[in-house]
Amino acid sequence: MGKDGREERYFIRMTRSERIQHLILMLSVGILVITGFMLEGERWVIESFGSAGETIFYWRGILHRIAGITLILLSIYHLYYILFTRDGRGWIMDMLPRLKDIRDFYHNLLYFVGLRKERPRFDRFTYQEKMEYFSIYFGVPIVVISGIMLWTEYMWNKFYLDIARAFHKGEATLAALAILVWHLLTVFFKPGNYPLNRTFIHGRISEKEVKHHHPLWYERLTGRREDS
Amino acid sequence: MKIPISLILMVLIFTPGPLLSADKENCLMCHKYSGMGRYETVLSGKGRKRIFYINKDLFKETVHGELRCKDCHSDVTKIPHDRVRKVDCAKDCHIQDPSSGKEFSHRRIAELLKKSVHGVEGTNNPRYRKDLPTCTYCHNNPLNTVSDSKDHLYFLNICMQCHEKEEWARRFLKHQFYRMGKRRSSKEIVALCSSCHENKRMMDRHKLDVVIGFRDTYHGKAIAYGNEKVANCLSCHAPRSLGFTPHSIVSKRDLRSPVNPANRLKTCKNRGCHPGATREFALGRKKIHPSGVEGLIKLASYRPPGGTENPSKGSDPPLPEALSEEVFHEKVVYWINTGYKIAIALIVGGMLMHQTLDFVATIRERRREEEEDG
Repeated sequence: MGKDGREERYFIRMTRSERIQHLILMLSVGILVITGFMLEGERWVIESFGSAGETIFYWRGILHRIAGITLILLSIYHLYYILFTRDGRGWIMDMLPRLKDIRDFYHNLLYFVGLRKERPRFDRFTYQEKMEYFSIYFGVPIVVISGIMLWTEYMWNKFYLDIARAFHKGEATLAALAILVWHLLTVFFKPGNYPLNRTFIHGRISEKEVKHHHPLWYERLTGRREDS
Repeated sequence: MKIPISLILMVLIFTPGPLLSADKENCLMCHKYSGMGRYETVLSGKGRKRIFYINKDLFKETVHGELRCKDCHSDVTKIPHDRVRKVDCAKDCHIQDPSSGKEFSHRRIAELLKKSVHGVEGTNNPRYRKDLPTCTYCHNNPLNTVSDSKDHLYFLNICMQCHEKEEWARRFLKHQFYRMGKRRSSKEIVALCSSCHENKRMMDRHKLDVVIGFRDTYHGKAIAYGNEKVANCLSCHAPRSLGFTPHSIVSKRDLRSPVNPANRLKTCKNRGCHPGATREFALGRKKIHPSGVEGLIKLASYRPPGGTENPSKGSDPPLPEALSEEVFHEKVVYWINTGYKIAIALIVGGMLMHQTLDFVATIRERRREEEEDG
């Protein structure tokens, strides 16, 4: 119930399929990051595992590969989803980068430093969310190709393997830090979200939030302009 | 009160005790005292601590535990003895080799070692003989570390059906088990080899490549975790299953070497490590693990070790073609890494700034809303 006694209205921001896809992505990337960076640990950290180290190393490799395959399959499914399902097409159409995003970015920066009075009027996805989403399109092919090369090491030139390792590690570091700084920091700690923005669990977003953060989307969905 | 030394000696000599019973040569009369030792400051100037204490029970469990002291320290003829020479492992033992009936000796191994890159005859630079490892640099009279496992007891029972003395049978069995198993962990092997091969000055003296990055490779990390399946130094430089032994290691430039390009493919495929290895995989790069000068990217200014003796001449000798290819490879990898470092700094740094500004702006908005509401 809202403050004025009316039922609070919600919009669906993530469909069930999208939520499950997000969950799988979250788990697989989480496992990949943890088991991957276990290879980059300092020697004293690694050696502190003692006699359990061998077992840990074995499962590290297995889990990394399982999570990697999961990520590949998920990516393929997602391509199917955005091309051949109605919800998916809606998702990708809202996600596609437009000229407005560059303008929004610029205006948002101006707003941050006080040179503009209002935030830009965002649609369903802000430029930040679009960049996060499309960085997966950039990063996943790199880690997948280099990862498969490292997995089938025996058939590649060592020079290409060294390149693959450099890309795999570099891209993984970039992705992990980007997720940490832009995604996790936002959903956990952005004022208004703390302790956690639960949209990824129930898929809902409140009318108030939509009006406030995604006014263009609100207009599109309801046909009403929300200026207040 | 002053106690005369002779009195102390008398007490020691007449100390009865089961402790000394096995010690027929009476060496433990002195060497059983744990305080026995000295600092070698005067003679060698190095200040090395020498311990001459022998723990009888521990010694008995070592691989040489059956031998008498004088079998190896043969120049000790009287007690108290003079300064003793180093033990020569290649001398004839007083133990019979059951296979030939002759006196047992490690001489064959010593001969092998002499011809290897670690020996006087095989080294690139015999002038620095002191750098070469002796038997005892790698071997330290280890314990027969075989626990009384179930298998062990099972086989002991079989032995004891014919053989009378259990102690003998147990020892013999331990020897078998010990020799059949892996005696050093990969971690120990890497540490042992690195103790010299990570020393650039020593490697330069012998015109060898200093090993720098093995521990950062996938093999190195797996070994740090305790994995015994991945390759350690010896798996490639002296693979036993291909007929090589650690005592006959030769330089990779030698055609016999298992890491020479001529044999490398076979070595990679060995032991089911990379069974499907292609020529590309085995020969794609001259160097499998980083070695050479520190930080291969610096190879551009690489001088062959021989050239460093005359630095005043200035101009660097041109790089061998094979090496310049390595430099190119290393540069490509270096620039990818550097590119990512710059990208991460810019992108993640930018994100962090954007986040901070966004958070501040959002807090400002929320305050304003609260004021309007309230």
